[in-house]
Amino acid sequence: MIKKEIGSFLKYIKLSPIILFLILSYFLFWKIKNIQNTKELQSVLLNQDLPKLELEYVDSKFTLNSLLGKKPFIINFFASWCAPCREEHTVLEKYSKDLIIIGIAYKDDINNVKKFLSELGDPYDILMLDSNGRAAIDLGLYGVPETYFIDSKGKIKYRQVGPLTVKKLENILKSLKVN
Amino acid sequence: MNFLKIFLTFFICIYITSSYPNQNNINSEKRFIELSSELRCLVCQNQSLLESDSELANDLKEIIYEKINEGQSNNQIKNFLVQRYGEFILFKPLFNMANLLLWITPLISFILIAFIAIRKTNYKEK
Amino acid sequence: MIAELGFILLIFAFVLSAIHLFFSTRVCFINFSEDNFFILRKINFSICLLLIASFLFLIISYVLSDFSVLNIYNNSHTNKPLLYKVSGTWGNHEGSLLMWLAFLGGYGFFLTLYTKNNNKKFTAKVFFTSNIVNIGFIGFTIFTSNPFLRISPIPEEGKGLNPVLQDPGLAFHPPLLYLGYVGLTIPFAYSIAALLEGKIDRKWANEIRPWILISWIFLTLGITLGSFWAYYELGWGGWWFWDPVENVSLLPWLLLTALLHSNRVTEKRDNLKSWTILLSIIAFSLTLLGTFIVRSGLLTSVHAFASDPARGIYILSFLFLITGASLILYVIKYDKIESDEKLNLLSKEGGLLLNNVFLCASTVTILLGTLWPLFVEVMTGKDISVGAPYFNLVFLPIIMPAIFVSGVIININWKRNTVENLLKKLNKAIIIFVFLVGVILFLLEGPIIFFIGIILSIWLLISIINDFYEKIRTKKSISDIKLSKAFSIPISTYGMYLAHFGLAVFILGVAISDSKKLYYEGVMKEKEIVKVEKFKIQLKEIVEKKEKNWISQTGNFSVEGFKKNISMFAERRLYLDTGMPSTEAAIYRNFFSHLYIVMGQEQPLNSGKRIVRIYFNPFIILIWSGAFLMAFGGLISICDKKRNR
Repeated sequence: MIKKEIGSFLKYIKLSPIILFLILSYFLFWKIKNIQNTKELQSVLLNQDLPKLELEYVDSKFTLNSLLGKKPFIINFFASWCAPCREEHTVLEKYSKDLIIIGIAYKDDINNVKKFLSELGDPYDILMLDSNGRAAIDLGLYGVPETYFIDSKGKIKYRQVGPLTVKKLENILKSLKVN
Repeated sequence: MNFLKIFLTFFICIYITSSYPNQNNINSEKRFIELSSELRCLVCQNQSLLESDSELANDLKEIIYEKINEGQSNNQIKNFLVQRYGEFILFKPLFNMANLLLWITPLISFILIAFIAIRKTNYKEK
Repeated sequence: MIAELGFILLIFAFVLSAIHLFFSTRVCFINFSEDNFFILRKINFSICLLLIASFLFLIISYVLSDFSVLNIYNNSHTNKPLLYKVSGTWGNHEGSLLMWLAFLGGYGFFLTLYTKNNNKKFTAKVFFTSNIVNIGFIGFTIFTSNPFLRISPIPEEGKGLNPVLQDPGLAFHPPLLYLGYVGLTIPFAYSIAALLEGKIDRKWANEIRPWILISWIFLTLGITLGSFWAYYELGWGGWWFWDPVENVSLLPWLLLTALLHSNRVTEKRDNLKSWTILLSIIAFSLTLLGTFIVRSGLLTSVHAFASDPARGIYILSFLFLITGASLILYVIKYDKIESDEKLNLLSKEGGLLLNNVFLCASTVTILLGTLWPLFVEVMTGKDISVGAPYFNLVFLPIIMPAIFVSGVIININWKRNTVENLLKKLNKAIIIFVFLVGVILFLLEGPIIFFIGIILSIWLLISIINDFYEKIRTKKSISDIKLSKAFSIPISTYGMYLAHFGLAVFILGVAISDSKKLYYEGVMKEKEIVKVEKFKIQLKEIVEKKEKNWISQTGNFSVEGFKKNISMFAERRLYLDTGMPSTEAAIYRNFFSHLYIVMGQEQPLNSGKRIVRIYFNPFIILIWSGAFLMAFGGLISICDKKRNR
C-alpha cells in the first residue's frame, strides 16, 4: 500500500529540479537587488553594551565612566600614520563642539599623535592610546579609521568603517535621532 | 541482498572514519596552525589567518597563540573571536539549528538521489 | 579603426542571430524546408566567423597598445611583454566575455561542419537552441560589457601592469577553462533538441559523445592549470582553497563527468536517457550560474572581476529564462523520453548509475556550501562563512566510496552479472589488494585519511590492471596471456584505463602530500639556520636589486637534506608604479616532491629579519600529473575512430 503511494508521489520527482531552481532563483534575485545595502560591514556588537576598554588616558576633560550610560558620544579610532584619517579629521573638527568625541590612537606613538593633533586640530574630549591594538580587537575593529556611535544608555548603535564625510555623518546622526 | 549490505556497511564506515573529529593535538604549534587555518582573515579576500600577512591577521594570530599557551580550548578561543567579529570569522560553520540544513543535506541528498536511482533498477527488497 | 570594426562585426553577429532565430523557429516548428535549413547553416558559419574575427580585432588592438580603447587603457601597458599583451585581452571582464563569444563561434563552426550529413530536422533544433544561447551572450556583451568603447582624450599610457597577472599559467588558464564551459553549450543544445523532438536514441548518444569529451578535457585542463598556478604564485603552498570561484568551476566538472558516464549507458544500452538530458541541462546551467557569481560581485573571492549589479541582473535573468524553460520542457517531455526498462543493479549500467549518484550528491553538497552564506544572509541578515573545513568534511566521505565503486565497475559486465562471476573475476585483484594493503599498514604510518587515500588509489590501479589482464588472457590458465588480444581492445577502452589511472595517481598525490607535508614559518636573518625535520636550511644572504620598474630582495637559501646540497632563491618584489608587492616562491623539485620557500616582508621593519615560510610537499606533483593524465585519457578516447560514426 505504502509502496503504491510512494510510487504515485515519485511521479512528481521530475518536478524537483525546477522547484529547487525556482527557490534558488528567488535567493539570487533578492541578493542582487539588495547588494548595495549588504556590502556594509555590520558590527556584531550592535545594540550591545560597550565592552570595557582598558587604555591609558592621554588627555581628557572627563573620564569615560562619567559619560557611559548618561550621555551619547562617539569613539573614533585613528592613527597618525593613517592617510584617510587626515581627511576625516577635518570633519571631526567641524562637529567637535556639537558631539562628544573620544579619540583612540591605534597602534601609535604618543609623540606622533601629539604632533598629528597639533597639526590638524584636536576635536577629542577624551584622548586614549591603544598601543598594541588589543582594545580595538575587543570592539571588532578591522582597521583605521573606524567610528563607533554610542547612545545615552551605553549601547553601541552604529559602526562606521572607513572615513566619515560630512554627508555620512549627517545621515547617521539623523537616523540615530529617529530611534 | 548481500552485496548491497556489504557495500552500505563499507560506505558508512568510510563516512564515519573520515568525518571523525580531530583529536586534540597536544602540540600547541600544530593546534595553532590548525586553528588559524580555520579562521578567516577579515581584511583579505577569502584567505585564512594562517595564510595572511596582514596586520589584523598577525594581531589575531598573536592572541590565538597566547590563548593556546594559557591553556584555553579551541572552542573558548573561537568564542572569544566570534563575540567580537561574528560567525563570519569561522570557516567551519557552527553546528546549530540555523545551519541544520547545511550539515544534513550532504547525507540526505545522497539518500534521496540514491533512492531515485534505485527505482530505475530492478532491485527488490526481500 | 580596428576597434570600430570589431564592434561592427559584433553587431552584425547579433543581427544575424536574430535573423537566425526567425528562420530556425520556422524551420523547426512551423514548416521544415531543406532550403531554409541550408540557409541556417550559412548563417551559422557567418555568425561564427564574425565572432572570431571580432575577438581577433580586440587582440590586435591590445598588441598595438591602442589606448584610445577604454578596455585596453584599463588593462594594458606598453611595457608588457607581447605574450601578456595578448593574454591581457582576456584578463578582464569584457575581454574574457568576447573570448567566450569567440569560442561559441569556434564550436558553432565545427558543429555546423560536422553535422553536414546528419538528420536535418533534428540538427535544425540543435542550431535553434545554440543560437538562443548565442543571442543571450552577444546581447550581454554589446549592451553591458562592450570591450570596444572609446575613451577621449587618448591617454599616453595604460593602467594595467598588475604583476600577478603577468604569468604564463594565468595566460592559459582562462582560455582552457572557457573552452570547457563553452563546449557544454553543445550537449545542452543536443539535449534540448532531443526534448523538442520527443525522442532520444543510441545514435543521438553517439553523436553527442565527442562534444562531451572535448568539453570535459578542456575543463579538466583548465581547472588543473588554475590550481597549479595558484600553488606556485600565491605562496601558500596550497593547491585548492574551496574558494567560491574554484567551486563554481568544479561543479560543472563533476556533472560533466557524470554526464560522460550516463551517456555511455545511453549509447550502449539505450537507457538513463532522462538522466543524460537532465545532466546536460544542469551542467550548462551551472556554467551560467558560475558566470553570474563571478561577475556580479555576489560572493567574496580572490577571483572576482569588478562587480557590477547591472550585469548581474542581466546574466541572472538570462540564466533564469533558459534554465527555467529547459526544466519545464524536461517535465513536459519526460514520459516520452525515458525508457521503462529497469536496469540490473549488478551490471555496468547499474554501477554507472550508482556512480552518478555519488557525483550528483557531491555536486549538490558543494553547491549548497558555496551558496549557504547567501541563503543565511537573505533569511537572517547575518554574515557567515563556509570554507575549507566544511567542504573537506562533507565532500570527501561522499567521493571516497565512489572511487571504490569505480574500480568494481571497470570490471563488471554489461547487462547482468552474478555475485559469483564477479568475485571470480576479481579474486586475483582482491588477493593482491589485501596483500598490498597489509604491507602498507605495516610499513607506513599516518592519519586515517592518508591510508584511505592510498588504499583507494591502489584499489583503482589494481582494478584497471585486472580488467586489462582478464581481457588479454585466454581462458585456459592463469598465466596464459595472448598479447595479440591487446590489439582488439578498443582504443577508447585504453583511454578509459588511462583516465582512471590518472585519477588514481591524483588521489595518491593528494593523500600523501596533504598528510605528510611539512610546514615551517618563522623569521630569519642573514646567516641564520633553520631545521625542519631532515632539512637544514640557511639563509645565506639577501641580495637587493633595482630595475627600471621594481626593487627586489632575493633570499639565497642553501638547503641540506636532499642527495646533494642545493641553493634556492626566493624573491620579493615591490613594483614602483603600482606599489604592489609580489613574491616569487622558490620551488625545488625532487622526483615528485617540492621544497617550497617563500620570503615575506621584514618583521619588524628595518631589522634585517624576514618572515620565511618553508613547505615540503611530498609527491605533490602527482596531483597535477594525475589530472593531466585524466585529460590525456579523454583525448585518447576521442581518437577512437570506430566509436565515432
